[in-house]
Amino acid sequence: MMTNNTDTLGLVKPRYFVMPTFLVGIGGYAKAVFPSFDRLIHGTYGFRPDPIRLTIFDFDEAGSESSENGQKYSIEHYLKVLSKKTLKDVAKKRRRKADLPWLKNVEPYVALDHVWYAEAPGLNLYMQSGNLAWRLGWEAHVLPELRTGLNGLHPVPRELDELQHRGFTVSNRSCIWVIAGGCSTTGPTGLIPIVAELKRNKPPETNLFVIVFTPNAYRDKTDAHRTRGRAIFMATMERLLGLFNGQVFDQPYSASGTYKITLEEDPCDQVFLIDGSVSGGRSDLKAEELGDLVANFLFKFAASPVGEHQLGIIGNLNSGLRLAKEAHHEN
Amino acid sequence: MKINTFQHLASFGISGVKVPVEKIGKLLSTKTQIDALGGVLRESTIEGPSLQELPESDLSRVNFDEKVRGGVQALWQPIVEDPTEIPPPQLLEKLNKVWNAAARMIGDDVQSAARAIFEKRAAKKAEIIRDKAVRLAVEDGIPSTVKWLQCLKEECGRVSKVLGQEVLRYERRKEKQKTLLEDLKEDWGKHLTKVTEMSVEPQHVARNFLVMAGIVLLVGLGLWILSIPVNSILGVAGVVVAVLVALKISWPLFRYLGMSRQTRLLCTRLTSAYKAMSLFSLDELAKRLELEYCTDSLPMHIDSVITGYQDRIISIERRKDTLSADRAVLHSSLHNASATVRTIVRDGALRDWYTRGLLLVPKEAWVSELCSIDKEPLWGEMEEQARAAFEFLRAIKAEDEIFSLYETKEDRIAYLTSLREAAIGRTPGEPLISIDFSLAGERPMENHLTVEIFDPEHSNLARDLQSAWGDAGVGLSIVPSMDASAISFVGLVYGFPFEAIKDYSMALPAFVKAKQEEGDAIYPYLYPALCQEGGAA
Repeated sequence: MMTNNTDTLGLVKPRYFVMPTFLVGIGGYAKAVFPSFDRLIHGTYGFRPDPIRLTIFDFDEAGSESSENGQKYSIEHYLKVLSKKTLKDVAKKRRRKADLPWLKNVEPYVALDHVWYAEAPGLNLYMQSGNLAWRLGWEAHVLPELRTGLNGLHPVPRELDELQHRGFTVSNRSCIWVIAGGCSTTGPTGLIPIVAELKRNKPPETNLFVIVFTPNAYRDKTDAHRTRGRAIFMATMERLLGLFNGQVFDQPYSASGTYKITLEEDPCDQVFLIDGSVSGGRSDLKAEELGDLVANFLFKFAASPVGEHQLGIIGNLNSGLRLAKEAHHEN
Repeated sequence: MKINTFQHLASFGISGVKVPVEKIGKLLSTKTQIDALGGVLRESTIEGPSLQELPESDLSRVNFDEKVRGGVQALWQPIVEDPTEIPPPQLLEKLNKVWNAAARMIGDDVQSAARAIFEKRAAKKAEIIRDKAVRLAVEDGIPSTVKWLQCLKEECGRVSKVLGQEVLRYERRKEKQKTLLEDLKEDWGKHLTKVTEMSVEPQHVARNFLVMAGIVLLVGLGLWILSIPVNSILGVAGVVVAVLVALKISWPLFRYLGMSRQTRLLCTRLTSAYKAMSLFSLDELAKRLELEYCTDSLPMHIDSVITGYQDRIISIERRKDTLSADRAVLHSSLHNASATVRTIVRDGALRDWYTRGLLLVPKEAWVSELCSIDKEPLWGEMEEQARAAFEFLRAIKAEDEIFSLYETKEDRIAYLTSLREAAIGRTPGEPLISIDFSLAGERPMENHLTVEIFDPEHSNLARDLQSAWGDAGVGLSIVPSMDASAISFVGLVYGFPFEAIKDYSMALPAFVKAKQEEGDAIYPYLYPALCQEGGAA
């Protein structure tokens, strides 16, 4: 976004602000947000600066794009399609009651009897399929992507000089946003391990936020989907909020069980819930409109000093929260 | 569900108002380009100068005529001045020599060189035509200029016809001269034969003259000695006889004198005929070159200019179509914005900004570039210049536009209240989520509204907002915006329990049912102990 230095003619000279931001999308709803965000970034800067990093994980290879003035912004460059091949093998063998000794280490963490596979995009609301699928691909596909995103989050001095040379003011704050649907399969099953992984690997000064779309944001789905989605949402939120209340996340995320994610603290700074209603439910937004608004908010956070201002507010709120939690635990 | 100890869920909302200056700038800059392109494609009736009225680039043609003609004349001049200096038997040989020299002077090499001169002349004339065409295109549009060029080409055709007739006339004249020359050569030959036959030696003429003088003296002496009076019969007869004898003896001398006069005459005519023949050949050559100039060279150059302009028309029309399509898209998307963002586009402002930008656009330079076919128009550069002309739009303030639309504070606040509600909720605390306040109401929720506005310290609107919303249970922050053309409202709501979201009441039964049916398999992951306790169905 431009800052307001003026040139000799009194015209506003373009200067840009950027807060290093890593957006991690999980599942389908993120695909409604990211292209709009990318469009806004490109519309402002003309390119996507390196400190703004995007990654979407999904088991569905469907793409999405946003366009403006004939320019298209597609997710294809940062969509990481996760394979379901091993999941399919496991589901088949489980149906044949075959023994799967290599899954022994994850068996206590996954209800293998509930692992199903359907020849359809995504994971089809089979929670345990998602639970297993993430673990199978974690080390090979998810972890490297997260590490790459984190490594590039803060520009090295050379990149910083280059950005400043191009008129950028780079914030010394940084944010990670994890955006997931709460009523599907990929988002709910991938959200907590990804947040936990990011939390333990992120730089200490980087804020970590989660945006979860609640059941009301799934208006375009069938009733059956929405009913099951509500149950999934509740289960997911129970797990997520449990972590804020002292539960420990200690889970193997590899078939052999050698790689574990352990988190014994709050998983993130803030959980934002979005149901897509406006003015207290007087009107509802379509998925596209909602995605666009969330993208606008994230853009404002990443590309304007408003982001730093908001971080200040949230920081104050969280310090209040810490005091409240301490008081709660004492009681 | 053991989640009621968690009290710090959050939500956000965003709304705003913006003047889409980027799009407006692009729209108006596109319009200026379309107008400029339309201007050079306009049709009008013009009276351009005719081919004859257009100046010649230089005197190369005249110089050629004079130089070559002068050379030919210089060759003939010594002979023409006194052809009798040449002995008659050698005259033809000498004339043929000069003729050959003159022919060489207007021979193939010289003709090629002359043709090059005429081609160069045509190229230079074409340059003049091209320059004039550029001026006409700038003033009256390219299509009219193409028509004028076509008129010039037609004029070339008419002049060619006339020149063709003249060349024919010159050819006839040359043929006639050739015949005359052949006749003269024949006459000369005959004359030369006669002269040779009577070839009188000078000593013979002198001897005859002496004999004649001696006879006259003898007759006179005889008459004196014999005292015969001259007027007597004998005297008269004697004188007559003496005269006759003298005449007889001196007759060849008189004949010789007469023949010399004829030789001179024939010699002069023959020399003049040769010279005229040379010059007629030269004239015919020059006329033929002129014909080629008007029939081939010049029309070819004019054709290339016409083709250049026709191609330019196509290129401009194509560009205009592209820009028109862009403009239509821009126009239709001018109000496109996120669901909670309002755009302000006043028609009056659009007209004012267009007029202002138009003054900054280098329109004359564009028209000159479009009307010059020497190089392709640099569309990218033009687009960049047009865009730069509307750079001032970046200084347009959304606040000023709001003040233009809503003159009273009440109207302005009423207009902005809907945006505030979109950002923070009608009842503060519900931005992009619905909250059941009966559950959330026990503890006041944290509601923060951040208004991002340009230069808030000097903003009247910021003061309006501060006085209207500053004490309404919402933490209001007014922060400086980096974009004058937009005002953003960012709502941040914090501190509601999970059970307070309106989805909760419907989600809980679904969750209870699912858990009954499939146990912990509904969770995204299992804790080992829970897995054993709940078990899968």
